[in-house]
Amino acid sequence: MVTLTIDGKEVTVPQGTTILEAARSVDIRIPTLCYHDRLNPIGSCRMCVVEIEGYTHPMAACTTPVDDGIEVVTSSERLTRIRQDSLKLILVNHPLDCPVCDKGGECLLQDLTFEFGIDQLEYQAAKVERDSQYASPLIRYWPDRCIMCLRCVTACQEIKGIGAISIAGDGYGAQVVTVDADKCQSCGECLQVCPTGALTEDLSRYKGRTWLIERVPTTCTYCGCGCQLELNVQNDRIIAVTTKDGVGINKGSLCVKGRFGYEFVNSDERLTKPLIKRDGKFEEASWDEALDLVAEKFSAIKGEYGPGAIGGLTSARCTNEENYLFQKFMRAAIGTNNVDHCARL
Amino acid sequence: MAEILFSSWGGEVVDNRQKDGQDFEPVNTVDLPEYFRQDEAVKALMGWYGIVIRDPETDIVDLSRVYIQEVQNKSCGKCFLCRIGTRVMAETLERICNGQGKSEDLEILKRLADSIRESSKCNIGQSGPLPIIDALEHFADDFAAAVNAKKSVTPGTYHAKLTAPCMDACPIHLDIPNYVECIKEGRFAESLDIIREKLPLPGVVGRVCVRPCEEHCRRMNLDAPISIKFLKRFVADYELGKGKEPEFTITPSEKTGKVAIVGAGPSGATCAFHLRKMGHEVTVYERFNEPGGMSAMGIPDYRLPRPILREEVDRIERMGVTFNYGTTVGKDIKLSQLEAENDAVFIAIGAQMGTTMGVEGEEENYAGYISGVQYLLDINQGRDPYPEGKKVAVIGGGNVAIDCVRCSFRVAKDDVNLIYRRTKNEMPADDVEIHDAEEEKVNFHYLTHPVKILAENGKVVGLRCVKMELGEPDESGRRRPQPIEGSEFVIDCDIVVPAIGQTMDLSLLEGREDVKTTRWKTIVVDEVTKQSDQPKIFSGGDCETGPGALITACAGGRTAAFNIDKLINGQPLDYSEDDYFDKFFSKVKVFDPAEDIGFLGGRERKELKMLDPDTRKFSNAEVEQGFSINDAMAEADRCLRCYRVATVKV
Amino acid sequence: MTNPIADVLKSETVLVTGTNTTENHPIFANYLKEAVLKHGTKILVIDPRRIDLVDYAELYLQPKPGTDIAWINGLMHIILKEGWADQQYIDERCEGFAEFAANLEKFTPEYVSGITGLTEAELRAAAKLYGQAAPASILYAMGITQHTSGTDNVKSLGNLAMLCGNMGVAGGGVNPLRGQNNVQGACDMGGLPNVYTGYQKVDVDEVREKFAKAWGLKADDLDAAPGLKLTEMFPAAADGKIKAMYIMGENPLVSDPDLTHIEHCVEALDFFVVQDIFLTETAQMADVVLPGVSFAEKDGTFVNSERLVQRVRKALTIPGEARADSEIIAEIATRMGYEMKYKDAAAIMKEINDVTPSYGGITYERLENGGLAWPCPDVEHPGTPILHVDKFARGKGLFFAIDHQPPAELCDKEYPFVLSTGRVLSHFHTGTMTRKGEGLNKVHPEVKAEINPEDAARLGVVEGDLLKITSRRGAIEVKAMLSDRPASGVVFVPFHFHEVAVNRLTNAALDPVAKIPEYKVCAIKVEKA
Repeated sequence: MVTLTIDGKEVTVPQGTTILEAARSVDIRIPTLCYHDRLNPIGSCRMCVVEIEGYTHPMAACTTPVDDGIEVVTSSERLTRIRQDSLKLILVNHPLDCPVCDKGGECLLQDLTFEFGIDQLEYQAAKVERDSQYASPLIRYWPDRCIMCLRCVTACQEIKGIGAISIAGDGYGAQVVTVDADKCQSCGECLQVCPTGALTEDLSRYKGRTWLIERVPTTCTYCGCGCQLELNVQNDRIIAVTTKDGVGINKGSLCVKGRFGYEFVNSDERLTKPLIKRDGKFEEASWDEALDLVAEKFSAIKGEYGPGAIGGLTSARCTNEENYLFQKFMRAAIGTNNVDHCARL
Repeated sequence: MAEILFSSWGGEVVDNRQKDGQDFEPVNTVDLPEYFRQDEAVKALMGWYGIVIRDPETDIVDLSRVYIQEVQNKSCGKCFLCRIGTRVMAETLERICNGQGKSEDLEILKRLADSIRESSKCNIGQSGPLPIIDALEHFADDFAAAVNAKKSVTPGTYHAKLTAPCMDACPIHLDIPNYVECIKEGRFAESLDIIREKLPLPGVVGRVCVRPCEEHCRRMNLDAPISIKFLKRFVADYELGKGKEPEFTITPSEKTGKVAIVGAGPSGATCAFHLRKMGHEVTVYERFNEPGGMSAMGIPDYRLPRPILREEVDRIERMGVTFNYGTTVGKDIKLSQLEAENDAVFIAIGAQMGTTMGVEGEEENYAGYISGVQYLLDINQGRDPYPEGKKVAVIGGGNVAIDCVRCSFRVAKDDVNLIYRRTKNEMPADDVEIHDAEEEKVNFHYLTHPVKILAENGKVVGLRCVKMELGEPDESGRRRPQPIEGSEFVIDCDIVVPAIGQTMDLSLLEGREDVKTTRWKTIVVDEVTKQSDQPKIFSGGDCETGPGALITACAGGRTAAFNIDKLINGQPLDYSEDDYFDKFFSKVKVFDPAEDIGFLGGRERKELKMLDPDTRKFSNAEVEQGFSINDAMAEADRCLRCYRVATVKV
Repeated sequence: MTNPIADVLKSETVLVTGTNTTENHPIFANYLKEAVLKHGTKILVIDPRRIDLVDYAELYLQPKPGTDIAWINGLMHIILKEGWADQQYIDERCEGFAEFAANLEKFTPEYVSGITGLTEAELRAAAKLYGQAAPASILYAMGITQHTSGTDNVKSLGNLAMLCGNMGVAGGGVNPLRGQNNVQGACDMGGLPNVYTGYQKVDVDEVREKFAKAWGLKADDLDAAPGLKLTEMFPAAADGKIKAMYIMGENPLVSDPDLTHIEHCVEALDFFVVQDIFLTETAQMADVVLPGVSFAEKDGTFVNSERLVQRVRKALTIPGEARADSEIIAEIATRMGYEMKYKDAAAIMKEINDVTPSYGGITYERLENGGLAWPCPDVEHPGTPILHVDKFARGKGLFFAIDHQPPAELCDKEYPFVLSTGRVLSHFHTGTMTRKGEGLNKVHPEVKAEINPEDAARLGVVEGDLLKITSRRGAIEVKAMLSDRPASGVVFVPFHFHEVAVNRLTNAALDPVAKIPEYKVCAIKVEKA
């Protein structure tokens, strides 16, 4: 264990802990922008610089491990100047299109700009035209909004092990690009970690405002991983699927189906009325009509041929409760064990 | 003597601007060369460590503009302040130089320079704005005048370069910060690609390099240098472990030709690799039956397992290079024939012969007297050179001597002695090797010198030695050892292995005069182009430099390849800007071991796991076990990425 | 799964077989990649398809389809001969070893090589990679089970894990990846012909008595004999033994093998009810279609591959007049004279808790704090992430002596290719959900048959050409995609696309125990259309 002080507060943490983690462990907030809990520290934004007594150079708290006896200062005039300059430099070319940005209201850059009271920009630099198109048809890249924090690049490499995103060019002209469109699996890991509106979900563009969305936590309806996700609902429609970092087996990841495969719920093709086939054609019917018909027919067949003449298939896509009721129905109401589902398919 | 007008290099300000020539204060922090090229006098330098101005006509504002533009060009773009901040600075200075400066510009420059310097992620940003701060402070009038003049500045002529201490120290100038950063980010294949742009033998060099880079690692000023060598080994092993065949793209030069390479050692292999990449038809002649030259035959398996070396050379073969093994040039085929049949010949035959000690009994051909080189060659080919012998005395203090003692255990010699005339401190062998040999319980006899080989019936039975003491320093700066009278004693041994140096067998030249040789039996070539006086003949590696580092041999091979390509394409073999910068930086040191970095250090250097000394010493299994993925990434994360930019006004 | 997903981070080696994890369980694949990239775990892929995970693998073996038992036995033969087996574990915790070991004798590398097409060196390297690792995990999915020897394939993997002492340890286990969100739950809830909830057997008197009591019936009211399996039900309809069917949320008219035959079976029914959210291919054949609701419109629970029970929550109002599925079932039952009434999903779960020992402690209240893995017998129990710790559920781990058996349908002159079916990343099952919107269709708009470039060259086929694929049961036309994923002689076609229903070709031959169809091997002819 290592003991240090942060803003005069004594902290004891295991060796190898970063200053940022140590500070967080005692609820001292150091501003961050590129840092993300799931990723190795990136160190691109320099917002988390701190001063250490006896060392001339400020250090990034996210990448610097603690050392015994050091005295860390997390705010000073110098640090504020650096943090403000970092933000101001980002804003040199960041469009102020927050009103039409899907991220508006949940944007880390917005929050920090507000926090640091950046109300004027003395710095200027010519804008570099960036035209790179993001590889996936489901994810839109807004190059002007990109602050090059590299979270997306890191996430694609570290979490997905794919490395489909990289930086092209050097210095000011550097930009995020997809290295290889074939590698991208549209999982949206990049979307999930993007702190600004540089990457947005292209299915739900302009469909909702972050502060009006209700987010309902639930379990994904696709494969057996059982990812935890949040249905983003506005006006009784799903406009996006997101997930919370650190929750469930997926811990903030989703795959292309989980994140983008929600459109079926809102589909116009959804069945909304019972249908009864008459002369080979479906006709809409009332519930009473349909349910009575089913109950009558099942009762009649059971009466004539016995319960074993009826078979039921329950569903690997329905809930436990529905499955329970279905098999109970087959066993208790019909009286047969002819119940199965498509586990084998 | 061109005196320095102003210097802030290394933080020490010397300002002679208001003084007469004879009153000039000297500058101690930097040795600024007088010339860049032969015809270009160095007028000023602006770089990571400050400003040095010699020519009073130097326009500091224009120099600052060019310099910061270069910093901006080299900024990797990975942190906000450096990426955008240096751009704002560059555009501001550009405006000032165009006569469009504004009054607030200088303040903006100062504030940004401070912020970038204090908080950038790597040394480009940390060092980049430093001379601008110096300039704004010490040349405030010039800047104010430029802002107020509202007229354009006349641009000068400049040379600029990006370097880093490790990169500069590396003989082949591997882009170390870049490939280390890839490892940190888990991009192992990309890391390897960066290494292979220059070096086709990462698995070999990653094991046996003498690592000048680590001696110039800035991290040393904080805690300990990063383990560059083993990171290189890690990526090479990672690929080998995955069984992946690297993809090499061959981009043919305009004109391609035929080249013969003599020797399949590191230098020859590297040369073959680069020539093949440029589309040339390459044939390598090697006297042994396998590749690697002295690195395969001379370095024991426990340090460099031969399959690694073979695989890396085989890959070059699979690129389309022909290797003729078991063919000795000069014996099986004449050098003149190679010359006649090829557009160029690259001689890289290494230093294959041991030198003698000048000790009584050495010329007697006693059984049990074996040169170090031969001793290692035999053992590495699976032969015990003298099974009768059990007690070994090796004389020498270099890596070959250490290899000889450690190898002795591996052919079941249990009494192993090393005799060195100075102390451990002066021993030229790698510290790690010395440490490993100590662990394996070699008897070290320091301050000891052999006097006579004792023999009975034509067989070695002992070595008479004399004790030494250190006297005055000699020309190498090491204290000269002197014998202590009456201190003679005998080391009981039946094998005597002199390993005090190597020399070249240049018989393939057949005494011809158009290829000059030195009195140390090295081939004389242009130090930069590797071309001998006979334009078609190039040489590199140990036979050019004398026994030296493997990475230097690779560098020689690479340089020769590019110059052979130029020769084939009828281009002059001129020195490049990089070559001149090499010379420039040999004076203006890129690494300052005394620099106070001002960071919190204390991050432990990751060490490799080693086999247990008591069991390993009797086996040929590789002693050092490579990094795990986690350790490699953590070690790479210690890199400070010390890129830095210099701009020279001529 | 015997072990939780995150356990692979603790494995030294993970044997991946018959699962295209990156496409079908992408989040699980994240863990595998993390294991490789950050923990040095070694992945051993043994699969007829060169799946993307091979890029992260230490070793990849490409056996002929349908030869799983041979290579598994082959690895065990080598492990045993080399002394890499965990004899202490076998002696203490398992039984049936002697007979099992005797059976392995003939599976020499040479013999196995002849069956599988793998070299002896490959087999030895793979045996070493799994056999010397501690712990080692096995992952599999339908590539192992969808064979006529599916059950034996799974038992063989069990043998392998026990042989090396990998059962009941963190980072070990035999882990089938569940392909659908609640396959595990449908099984747990007794959606199987032979068991009630929690795998309580229908032919055990006490069990029946318990359920009869809980459901307000007499024990005699409950059927004592196991019922028909899905794959038996349709043929029974054709034979006239099944007269009516009630299908909830399934689409067998795309997903089942030998579709043409299934269509005839369904046509033979007197009465056919389908409950779904879309008018699926199956629903179109129904007499009555009842509109249910999607996962976004209901409360409930799903169980993932790790046996983790997690909440599903209602986010939207139900569209139109559609009704919650549980409500529909209860209504039909009530109208048939058996009253079912539940206030909400939680009330149903309460009943499940009462009748299911392994679900005894899984309440909605507790699930608010995250999932619980069964067995979880009471509300104090923390759940059971790893099965078979210290001892096997049945007591001793049983070794089975299993012989190789060839697939039901072998290639011949007329049908020289092997067809394998499966899924792609962007679509799911029969496409009823994933193909309804724009998004996923943009990413993956159409079906393509993966064919090895060598085969394609021989057939004169280039990328995008239309292929005619014929089996003994039917024919389809599908665009070709040249890919080195399938070995030469093997063609892969996903089954999500009703317009190119690959199940017109597949063989309905079943595994004798699990009655799972042999989707992974059938003989086909491939021509340029």
